Amino acid sequence: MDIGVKISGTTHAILIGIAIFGAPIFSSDKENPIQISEVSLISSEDFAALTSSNIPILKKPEPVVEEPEPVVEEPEPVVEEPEPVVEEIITDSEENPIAPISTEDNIGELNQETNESAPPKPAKVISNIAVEAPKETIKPEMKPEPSVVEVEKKDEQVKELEIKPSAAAEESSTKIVTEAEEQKSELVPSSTSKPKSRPKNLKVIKEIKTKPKIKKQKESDLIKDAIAAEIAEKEIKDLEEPKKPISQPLTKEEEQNLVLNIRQCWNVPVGLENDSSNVIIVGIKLSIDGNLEEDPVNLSPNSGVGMIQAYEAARRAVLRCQPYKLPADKYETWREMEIELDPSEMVLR
Amino acid sequence: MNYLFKICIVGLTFFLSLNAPLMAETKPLRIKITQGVIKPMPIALAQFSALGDSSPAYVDQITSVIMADLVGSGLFREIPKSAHVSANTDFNMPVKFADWRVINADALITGSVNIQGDKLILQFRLFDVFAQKPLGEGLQFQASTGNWRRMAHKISDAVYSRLTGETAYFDSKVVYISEQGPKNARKKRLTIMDYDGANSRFLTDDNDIVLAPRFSPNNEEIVYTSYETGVPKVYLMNVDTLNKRLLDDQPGMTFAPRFSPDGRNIVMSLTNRGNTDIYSIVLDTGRKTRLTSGASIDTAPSYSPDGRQIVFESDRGGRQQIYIMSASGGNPKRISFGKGSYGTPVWSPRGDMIAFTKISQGRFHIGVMRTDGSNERLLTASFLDEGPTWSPNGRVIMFFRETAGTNGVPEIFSVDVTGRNLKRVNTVNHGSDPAWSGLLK
Repeated sequence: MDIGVKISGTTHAILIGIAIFGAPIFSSDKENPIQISEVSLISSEDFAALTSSNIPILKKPEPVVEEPEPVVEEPEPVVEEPEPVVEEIITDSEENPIAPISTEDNIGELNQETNESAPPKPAKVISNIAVEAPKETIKPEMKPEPSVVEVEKKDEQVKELEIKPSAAAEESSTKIVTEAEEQKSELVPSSTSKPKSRPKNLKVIKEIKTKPKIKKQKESDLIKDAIAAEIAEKEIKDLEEPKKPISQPLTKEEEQNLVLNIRQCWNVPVGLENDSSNVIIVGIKLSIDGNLEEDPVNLSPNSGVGMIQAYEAARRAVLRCQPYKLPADKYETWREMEIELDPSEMVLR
Repeated sequence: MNYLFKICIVGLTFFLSLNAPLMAETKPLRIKITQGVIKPMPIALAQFSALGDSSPAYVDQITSVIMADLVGSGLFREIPKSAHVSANTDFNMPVKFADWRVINADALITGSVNIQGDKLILQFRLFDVFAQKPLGEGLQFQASTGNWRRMAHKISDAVYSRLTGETAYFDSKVVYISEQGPKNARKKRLTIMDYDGANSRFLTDDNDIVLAPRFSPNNEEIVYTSYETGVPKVYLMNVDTLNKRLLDDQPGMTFAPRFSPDGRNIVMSLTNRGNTDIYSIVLDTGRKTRLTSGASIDTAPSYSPDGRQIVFESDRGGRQQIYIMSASGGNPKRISFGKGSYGTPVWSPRGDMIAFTKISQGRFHIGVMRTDGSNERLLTASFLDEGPTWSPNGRVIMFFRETAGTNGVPEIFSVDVTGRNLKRVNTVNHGSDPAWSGLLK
């Protein structure tokens, strides 16, 4: 028990440590320092004068954005953001009256999020949901349940051979292993009545009697069992998952056309050409008509200088290039794509 | 021990359950693109809202400076207002991205100009039209109306930085030698101006020949060479007060000065008894240290951005070539090996390149090379190109070009580090020896 407590204590300490020290590092927003450095310096009077005429206008976008709310609830937080940002700017400007331009100059940050509530956002989300819907309908068609049941029955049969009480089979797969181990030790004496004369059973009894050894064996066995159970469960899950219809790969010509198309749309940002540290990978999901279902996702592991601009240029490229003219019968092949944009081979002239 | 088992098993289960879906996924189609296009990004500058006492004419002045900055960089192309579908006259109205997308604008700038008495408030926002998203935070600049050009440059800087990922250079100054009169009796004056040639101001009269001005790192002082005493001597001048002082009153000619990155030292050439070597002077104490020695002419020193090294030109090998040595002197290493002569090396603010003047086959070139001398590229070619100076972001080089003949005159030009976007810079008179400041604060 002491070792267990120690391990448990150490593990918890590490986890707590990661939570305290690790989380802020990984979650830090790189843009924040820049934003802070250029924070508003507008005086409260000026800002009041400025915003007094703007407030009614700021409210205008809200009803426009709220329209899609019944369909999608997600955009709501985005719409609500601008108002608190305005307030923060006022306080910043009051607390930090630095004059970067000259003694009379001030630089300030605006509540630019107001325009983030532009109507197109919710429209995109709506389309996502509409596209995702078919996935759910596909699942029942695959009917993976019979195979799962069969495997489970097999497991139960095996367990019944090893352990007489069938009640244990009711438990979940992972717990069966642990509880089975406990039941084994309890049930062994009762199982010795018939096969006493059998040498194999005697061996079992002997092994059980030597408690420390048994426990050591149990540890390794249990871990093995757990792994085996997990693998079995994974296999079951694989069987449960609906198999995607097999789609033919794109021909070289089709792939080449796609590459040429994106090339024309990719305006390489200045300073990034001939730079291998700014290779960008964007993930895109396409609908059957070749249009993007959602915003391209930045999959690049790099985080160097200019990566934001590299991603934005890549995003513009894939957005500008849509709709992609690809063979519909190979939709499953190109439905999801990863596009790697590598400016390192572009020669600086 | 059971407790230990449970922990192990639960942990194992958790780990496997996390990884199982990942392992089960199949990789999507991967397309690799290694070539794109490099062309100016089309941007639209929406009509800024005129608020308070500001007039549409005033608004146009500001927006024209912004657009001149951006288009002048060679990296952006303006979509003319005549092509705009959406007026976007109200700064706080949601942007109709479809209207800007249809005219193929990659980026959109919206803004407002608000004058209240002598106070000017500029606001702007930048949008990615295709992504239909704002790019970065909107910004507000507030200053006296007299600073409207600087505020416009600040907006240009913000847009440039946000779209390129690089620091910008629009809100910066250039000090240069304004030249007037015939070639054999040229009047030269120390002059300061905005990077685009606006707001020119003379710092000296035309009584004495002045040469090679350089900004201090904080842009408050200028070090330059003047023939005020009859022989070239290095002077230090405050840009605001115009107070100046002789840097070193010892015998000999001093010239080609330049500040160290921390602003504490000045490195320069000193000619004494026919020998020209490089010295550094501590500004606070006046202590002078000799950095090179020998019979050769060592001149045009320039610090690396970290202040650890100095690049300079020397004819110690029989011909003018570029060398790099430690900032404390010693161990000079030649880095230029091409045909011809090399001079006036200047270390890039980024630290990765050195700009230089090259004389080859009777023509002058402005070129760049890596700090180890590799990847030499010539950006210009003419009868006489000389005196490169880097923009604060290391993206653009300014230099002067003199035309041939007895009526030849010097003009200031700028060129992108790639060799693109060569253009003349407006100056009051003719101009030579430009030196770019850092970004203003």
